[in-house]
Amino acid sequence: MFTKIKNQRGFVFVEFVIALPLFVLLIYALAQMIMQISSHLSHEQAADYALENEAHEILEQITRDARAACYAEVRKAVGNEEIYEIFFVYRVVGNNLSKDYFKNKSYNSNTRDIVNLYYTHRYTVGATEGHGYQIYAERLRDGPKRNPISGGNFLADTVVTELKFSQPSEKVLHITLELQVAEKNIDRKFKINTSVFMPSCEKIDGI
Amino acid sequence: MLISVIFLLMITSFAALILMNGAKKIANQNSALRIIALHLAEEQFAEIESRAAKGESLQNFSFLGDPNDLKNYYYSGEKDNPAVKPIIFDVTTSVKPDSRVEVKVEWNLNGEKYSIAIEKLIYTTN
Repeated sequence: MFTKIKNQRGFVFVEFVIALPLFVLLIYALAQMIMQISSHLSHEQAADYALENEAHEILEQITRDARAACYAEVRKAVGNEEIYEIFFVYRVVGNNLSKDYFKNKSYNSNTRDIVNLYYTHRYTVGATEGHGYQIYAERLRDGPKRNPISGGNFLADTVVTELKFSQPSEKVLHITLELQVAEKNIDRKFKINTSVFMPSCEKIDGI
Repeated sequence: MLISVIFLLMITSFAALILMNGAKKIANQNSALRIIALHLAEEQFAEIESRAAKGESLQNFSFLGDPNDLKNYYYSGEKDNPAVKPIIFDVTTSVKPDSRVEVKVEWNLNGEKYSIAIEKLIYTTN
C-alpha cells in the first residue's frame, strides 16, 4: 500500500516535469503565431495606406493644376521617351501689371523615381521673353517622404503611365496612374484611371 | 498526458497553418478598389461637365470615358503571378432635379456587390 502511493507521487512529479515545459513551449508558439499574423496584416495595411495616400496626393495635385489651366501641353520629355511632361499655363488677373501675367508649371513624371518630380514656375512678364526669371521648386521641400514599411522611398513605385487628351471632348485630360509595391511578403499592384475637365482651357497641344 | 500534449501541438500547428493561409485573404482589397471606383466616377463627371459646357442637355448617360478603364485590376498575391483577376466596374448616371447628377459605380468582389454613389452639381449653359 505504501509503495503504491509513493509510486503514484513519483509519476505525478515526472509527468509535470515533462509536460510543464512542453506546455510553456506550446503557449509560446501560439503567441508567436499570433504575433506573426498580426504583424503581417498590419504591414499589408500600411502598404495599402501608403499607396492610397500617395495616389490621392498625386492625382489631386495634377487634377487641381489642370482644372485652372488656360493652356496645356503634353509631350514626351526630351531625351527620355518614358517620361511624360505636362505643361500648364495660367492666366493671373487682377495684378497691377498692364499685360497678362503668365505662370507656368510643368510636371515631370519619371518612371523610376517620381520624387524627382518638380514643377517649374516660370514668370514671364508680358511678351518680354528672356527677361523673366526661373524658380525651381522642389515638390517636397521637407525632403523625400519615407516608406513606412521599408524606410525606402515613399513614392518610388508610383508611375504616371499615361497622360492624354481624350478625342471627342477635347478639354478633357485623361490620366493613368499605376501603383506598385513589392516589399517582403507584400505585393500590391493596381491602376487608377481618371479624367479632369478643364473649363477655362483655350488651347491644347500634344498627344 | 505526454501523448495528449503531442496531439495538442499537432492540432495547434494545423490551426496555425490554416490561419496563416487565411491571413492573405483577410487583407482588405476593397480600400484600393474604392479609390479606383472614385476616380472612375470623377472621369465620368469630367466627361459630363465637358458635354454640359458644350451645351448638351443632361441625361442618363452611359459611361462616356475610355471603355478600357472599366476593366481594371487589383493585384495582390504571389510575386510574378500571371493570373491577374480583372474587376469589371459598372458606371451608371442618373439626373436629379436642379441639374444634379449622380454617378454610381458598382463592382463585384468575391461574389459580393459593392458600390459608391457620388452626386455633383453640374453647371449647364442652356
